[in-house]
Amino acid sequence: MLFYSFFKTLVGKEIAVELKNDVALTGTLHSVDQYLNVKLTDVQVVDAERYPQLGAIKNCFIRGSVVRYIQIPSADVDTELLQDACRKESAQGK
Amino acid sequence: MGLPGMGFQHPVPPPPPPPAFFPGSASLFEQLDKRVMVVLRDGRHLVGVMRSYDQFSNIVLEDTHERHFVRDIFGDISLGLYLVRGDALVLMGELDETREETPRLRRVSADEIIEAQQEASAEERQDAKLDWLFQDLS
Repeated sequence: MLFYSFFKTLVGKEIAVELKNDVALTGTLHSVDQYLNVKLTDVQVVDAERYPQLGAIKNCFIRGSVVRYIQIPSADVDTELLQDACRKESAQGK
Repeated sequence: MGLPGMGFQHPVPPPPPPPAFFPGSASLFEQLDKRVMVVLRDGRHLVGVMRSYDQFSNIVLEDTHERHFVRDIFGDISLGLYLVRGDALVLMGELDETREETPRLRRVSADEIIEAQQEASAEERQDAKLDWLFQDLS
């Protein structure tokens, strides 16, 4: 559940999601769930010329299983905290 | 004095509203009864009113149309009531109706889009044929 908790701290931040079908979308992270399905608001398609059919989308739900990458602004991530949390969680698992 | 029923206290508070979302669907609750466009894994686009969903993001779409895009035109073909299995779903978005038609994307009738699609696929076949001829020559 580490990454679920992590993404919950990013709600309201601007992120970019690249899907397995090569479409990339940017938007404000609205919500995330345990499957890492994400909801974005104020969606913009990165290559709008290539995907005109997605131009009319305001906000969207993206299924976690089709996501390839999520880009997050590095200023919003405390990597030390994330490492600590990871170690804590793996220690708990033992 | 007063109107009949005045001063009457409801004996029990009204029941709490049902839970707003299933755990693990990033709350599709807000999209219920909205017109949405769904992109499927095979690249198809469905437009319909989202009536129901569950924790696997299976969804029910009412008054569904399949939206075909051919170059700078698009058209909707009516399908009816659809249940989309969650694992076929890539993306589901609410549509901004003011942005559906743009100078670069014009809406046409179902018949026109079918015709345009047939033309496009015929062209593609022709191109494939030319490729083969070229290979034979070399």
